[in-house]
Amino acid sequence: MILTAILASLVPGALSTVVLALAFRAWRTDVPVDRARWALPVALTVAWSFGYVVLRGWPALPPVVANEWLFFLALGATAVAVAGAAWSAPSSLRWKAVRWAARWALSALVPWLLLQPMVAHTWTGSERWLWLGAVALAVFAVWSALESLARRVPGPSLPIALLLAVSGTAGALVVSGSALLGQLSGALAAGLGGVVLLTLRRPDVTLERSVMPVVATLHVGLVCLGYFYAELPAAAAVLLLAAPLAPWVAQVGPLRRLGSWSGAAVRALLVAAVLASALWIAFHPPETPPPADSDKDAPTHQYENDYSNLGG
Amino acid sequence: MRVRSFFAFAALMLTVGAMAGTARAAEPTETYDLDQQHSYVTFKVKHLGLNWSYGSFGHVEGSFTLDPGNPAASSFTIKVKAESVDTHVEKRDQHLRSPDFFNVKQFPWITYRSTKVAKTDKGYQVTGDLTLLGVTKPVTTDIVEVGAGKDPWGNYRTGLHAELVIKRSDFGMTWGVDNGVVGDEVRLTISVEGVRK
Repeated sequence: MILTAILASLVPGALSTVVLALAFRAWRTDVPVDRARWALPVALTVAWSFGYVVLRGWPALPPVVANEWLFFLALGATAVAVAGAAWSAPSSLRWKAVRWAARWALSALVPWLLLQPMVAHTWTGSERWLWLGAVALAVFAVWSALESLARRVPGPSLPIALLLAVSGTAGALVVSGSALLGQLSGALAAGLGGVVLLTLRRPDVTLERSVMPVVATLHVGLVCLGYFYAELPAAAAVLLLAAPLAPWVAQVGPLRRLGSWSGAAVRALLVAAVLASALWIAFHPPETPPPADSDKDAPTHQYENDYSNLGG
Repeated sequence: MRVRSFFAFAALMLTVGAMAGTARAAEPTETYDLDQQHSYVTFKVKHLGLNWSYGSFGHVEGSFTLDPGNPAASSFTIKVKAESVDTHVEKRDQHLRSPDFFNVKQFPWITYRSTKVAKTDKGYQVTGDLTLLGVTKPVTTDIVEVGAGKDPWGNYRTGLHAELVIKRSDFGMTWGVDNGVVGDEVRLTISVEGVRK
């Protein structure tokens, strides 16, 4: 058990750190950020994928279980992120349109692939489109909000806040009945640990045009899996989705003028406050009525075992 | 004279054979629906390698067909609702229903459908497809016919019992296998009562 925990958490963290150290040449501080920006999503995905394989083994192709799709979605998000990091022509309208289209496409793909069993077995009619649309919107909103935040917040402040948000999500998922989903979130947190270390060494590194596709896909994907397939309460799920966005509050009013470490502390506290609420709800889920006794509804046969009829 | 005797003997043999075949064909195929309230699927699995942990499924349905004249044509189908898993500890049952184990919201049913049946002294040897977590694997088991007869309400019932051992990792259920918290080998006991249609 300890070996699995080490392999699924410490090793991903180490992998992420090594990839970033090599890409950014951590022994120097003059490597231009844009030249190595592609390494941020790659390091995160390498770390998380390693954790996935340790915990669950290689995913089947085509995937059989919903969480196996997450493995391939992470690869897709990495491709989008690397393309965004490599081609930085923000002023071009055509490139903006391509980036937005890619963001929408990936956002729509996340619920479509992860929630197919719900579409097949549970939802009917407009219900399926409402849920698929809502989750796609959540991916898009989290991604866009984080991308916008990343442009405004350099240094380790935002990576620390993200690390905290994802770690708290791991705890909530474990409490909600799925150790596997919690451990997968933990592997993502471990990967973010490498990003934190990089930004401590290179405070000029921002996370814009880099990790957010991967973070949004995996974080929203894992929360969705926890809500739809485990027992994560709805309110906790919403709070966990909002947790990485809590640092936006520190962009308002006098909080914007805080120094880098004060700002980092405030952002971390904001995330912690949201997480505390989510964890409390996960620990104290609302009472749900017991499942309907399906045997009661089962057709009673003509040979009903009414023992009171015996003996007259 | 010898030729005539030969043809008479051959005719007699053919007649006897035809009568036997007709008699065999006359034995009707019997189709049974499982009595859900008297059908059980239970399991045991090792916990930490120290002792057995037991559980059962509350919702079992299915049917079987017995062909006395041609046992190989018999068939057995059983469906278990994964959500009905019960180990008498609610938190553990919640974990079992999660993606770590039965992943019930994605795979609501566990099914077994026979593909090959052979008659044995005590019942049948059955090979069939067990589908768990979307993975289908062939599993062979001996089904024992425990008893058969009329019930007080005029229905004809047959009781069948089978035991089988599977490795849950073969079906992608790997949580707890590596660290030995939950054993890989699962011993299933299936005991069903069918009511003849």
